Amino acid sequence: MSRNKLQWGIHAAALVASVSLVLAGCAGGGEPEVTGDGEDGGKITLRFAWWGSDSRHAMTEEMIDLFEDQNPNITIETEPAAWDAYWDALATKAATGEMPDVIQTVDPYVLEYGRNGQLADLTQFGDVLDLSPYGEAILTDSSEDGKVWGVPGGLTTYSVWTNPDVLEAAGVEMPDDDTWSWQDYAEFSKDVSEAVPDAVGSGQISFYPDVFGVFARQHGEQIWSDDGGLGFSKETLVEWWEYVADITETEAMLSPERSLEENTHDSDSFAQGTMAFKPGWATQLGQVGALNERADLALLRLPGEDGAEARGDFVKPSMHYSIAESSEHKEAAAKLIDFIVNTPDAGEILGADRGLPPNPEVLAEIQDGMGVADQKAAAFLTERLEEPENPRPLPPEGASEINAIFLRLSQEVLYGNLSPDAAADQLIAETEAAIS
Amino acid sequence: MAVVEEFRQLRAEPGARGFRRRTDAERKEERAAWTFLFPWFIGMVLITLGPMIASLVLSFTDYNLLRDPAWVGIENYERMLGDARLHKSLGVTFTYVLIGVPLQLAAALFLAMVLNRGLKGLSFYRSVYYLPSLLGGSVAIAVLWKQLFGVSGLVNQVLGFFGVVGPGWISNPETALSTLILLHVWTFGSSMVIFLAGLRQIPDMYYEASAIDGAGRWRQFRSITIPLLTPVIFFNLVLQVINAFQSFTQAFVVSGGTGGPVDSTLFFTLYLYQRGFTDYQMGYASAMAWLLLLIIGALTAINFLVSKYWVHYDD
Repeated sequence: MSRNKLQWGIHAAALVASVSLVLAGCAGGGEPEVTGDGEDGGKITLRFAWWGSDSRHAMTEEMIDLFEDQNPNITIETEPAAWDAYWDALATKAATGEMPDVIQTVDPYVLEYGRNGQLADLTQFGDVLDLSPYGEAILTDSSEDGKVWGVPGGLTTYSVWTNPDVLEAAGVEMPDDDTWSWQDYAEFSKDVSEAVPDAVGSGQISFYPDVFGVFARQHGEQIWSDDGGLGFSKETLVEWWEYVADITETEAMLSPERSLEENTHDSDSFAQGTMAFKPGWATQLGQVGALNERADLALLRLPGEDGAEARGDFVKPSMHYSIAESSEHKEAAAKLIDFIVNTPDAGEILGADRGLPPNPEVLAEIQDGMGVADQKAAAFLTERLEEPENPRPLPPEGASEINAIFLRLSQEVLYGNLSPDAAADQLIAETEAAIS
Repeated sequence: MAVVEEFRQLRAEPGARGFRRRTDAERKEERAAWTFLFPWFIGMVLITLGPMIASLVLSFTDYNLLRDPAWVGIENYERMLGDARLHKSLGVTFTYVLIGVPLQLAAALFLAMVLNRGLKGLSFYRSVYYLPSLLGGSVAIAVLWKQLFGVSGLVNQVLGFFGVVGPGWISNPETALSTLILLHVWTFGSSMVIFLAGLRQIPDMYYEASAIDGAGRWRQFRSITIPLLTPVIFFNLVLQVINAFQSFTQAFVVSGGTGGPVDSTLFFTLYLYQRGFTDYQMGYASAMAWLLLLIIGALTAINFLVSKYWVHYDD
């Protein structure tokens, strides 16, 4: 009798413990509720959420102080976060109708939230939020069917960060990035790895789909097709992974093990000065820190543009600002966004941290005051903007899943678990399932 | 510990509860117990039971958090049958539990026995060894682990001293899970404390009597310690299995949320998290939570059934 009771006791306790832990995981991500956003005496309180580093938090707070000085009837409650936590929390808030009024977004999330009716159409605010500085191409990533769900907070483009000192030590000349091919890239990288002890030619190029996207576009394809499906062929992906597997094999590229461990810009091989080429967003060059002062770092175009079927690289917004459809103070929110993206006052404080200011007037005003790395990025970006565009079709719903799928299958190839051919089949099947 | 006391007490007076009339003092005590439990019940209903029911309902829907849920019947459950990554995550989790838990319990028992030999400064050592189980599930320790087992981490530096070139333990799919199992074993403290309490309840006279009959250490361990300790072993086993199935933080931090390299550390809970919060498939994630509940429930039931054959309640 007592033994039975005891067993039931433990059993019940065990079940309760397990259930509560599992479901706490599901229901987690709760944020303290923010109250008092109502209007009292003409005062408006706005909530503004963004993700980023500590330095971005500080800059943004400073910019907000200035805005509050100029708009005494508006108070801003800030909700800064790190990338992962930001999206977890935002989804939960969206589900409960408690999204902050102004939110930082990025493609393809901005489309996913917009298509699901969570974001306000920014064209409705007229002069309060001036969209005229932004051409149609720049708004592509954040609009559909005439609705604009986000205004760009910065522009950027993919590039190859290059350390001339490492090239020199290897006896490799600075490549001509207007003409270099993927084969050249592999050979130069190999030369560096062989010639300089403890140095490696290239950083990892296949953990994120960005470089592959450029590669596919150079083959006349795209990541996404116009009708919302996959826009590249299996052959191109196989060719890519074979290239990547080869360059890894010759140790010209950082091994998958080390690539996994070196995932911060400020302490990896490139920042240590032991890597020649690292593909990355041009506007993030400043994040490698002290190396910018020691070496005259250069930004090169990705290889393969010369003789390509179509232009591979492209300029895109690095992120957007959006207004929640559930916001009760959309007009004030629009005013805040206008201040952030359209005034040199704010531009001066924020610099190029979120990418280069997409409003040409703001950029012209602040350009001279920017740091060396940002000025290089500005010059590089300006060149890219002058070239004829190769527009990118909009990603379909569920598109963001390709990042994780691409990472995992790239690793399968690089660790030698799957052939490029088998991995390509799997990527296509999984991605098609995600977007269907 | 209190549970183990309760455990013993219940066995010491079989049938004592439930039949005898309660005295006034006992009734008062009972009222006090309910009063103290009351806040817990409120929390249980609001924070646990409510979300549980919600997640059960959601598991039959297609829900992306941004739109209202749409009823899809058992589609989520059907999809789990053909989800290769889910099967992989089950494999990883079972490996982790089936290897990690026994090793952890063995380590806990071993250290409990060492500490039980009338060591000076026992309470100090007990605290020191207990610390890891407080810290083991924390983000800080997971970060530390990541450093220790990195390509140029402390472990490889020590190995390098002996001329061995170690791999990147956590970035190599062959070894990544082993480092997490090791981390789990290292958190033996809470089981150890319970074992210690159990060991202290074994009357010395058994050992004295057996020593007179010529039994050696090993014989005493096998014929006295283990049989008398089986209820405590069982108790630890049940708790640790449930606990291990829900491990999340370690894999999340060490793999940066991916469960990589190549899904080698994809715990079930981590995959659930990815489905829910990265892919916004909350309906599917809810269904996965219920699958996990069923698995843990079934394993616990099996544990109880099997316990009849090896757990001795001899009085």
